[in-house]
Amino acid sequence: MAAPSVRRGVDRLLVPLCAGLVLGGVVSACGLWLLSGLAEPLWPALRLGLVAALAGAAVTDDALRLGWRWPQNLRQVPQRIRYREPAVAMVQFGFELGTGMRTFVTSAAPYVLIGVLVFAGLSIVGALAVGTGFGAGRALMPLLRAWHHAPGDWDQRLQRADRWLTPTATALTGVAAVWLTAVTLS
Amino acid sequence: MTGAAGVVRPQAMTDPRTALIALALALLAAVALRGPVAVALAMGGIAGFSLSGSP
Repeated sequence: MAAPSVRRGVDRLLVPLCAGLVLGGVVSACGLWLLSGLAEPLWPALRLGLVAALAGAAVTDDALRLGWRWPQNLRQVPQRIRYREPAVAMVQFGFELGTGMRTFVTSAAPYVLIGVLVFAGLSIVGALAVGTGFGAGRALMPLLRAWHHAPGDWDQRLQRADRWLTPTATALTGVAAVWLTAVTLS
Repeated sequence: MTGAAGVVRPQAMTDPRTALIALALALLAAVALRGPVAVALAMGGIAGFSLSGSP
């Protein structure tokens, strides 16, 4: 385990990282929400059906580990950002991760969010909430890991739970997506 | 038992399973309150947390 002074320095960098993650999530959510007007002419039942189909596909993929290829960038944040001032680099790193554009998307749940943002007819406040929640949810991982008594132990706990953690999270996202779409369109 | 900031926390509090259970309860509460914005927030949080294993 790192020395306490080193750990404190790492902890300080978690704040800009988390700020970047939330900012990235909000920017992506607002960008996708801008497309929602294009779905407005579609029948509400069709929009609900599209979100439900997307949620069903996401849950099936994650539960049965089918490994479907969802569209993604498959690139990590470039290493060159580490040459920047640490706090700035962490904001940028968090922002790029938070947008979902420069990371490996290992769960289908974020695609359900895309469906909700485009088809559910959310208000801008709703879209901001989705983006904020996404960034905050992503930030939970580094926060919990840093707060745990031994990061290595936390990694093992995550690895052990991964078999059901991702499918459960995707199923919850899917149910929430269908509920939210039905309520918003009703 | 002692976290990075020297604060004592039970291990279960920082366990990834506990986090998902807490998020699920938050989602249930938001649905029970019929609050679309709260549901959107919890749903986004769960989807973001689902990427915890992402490199």
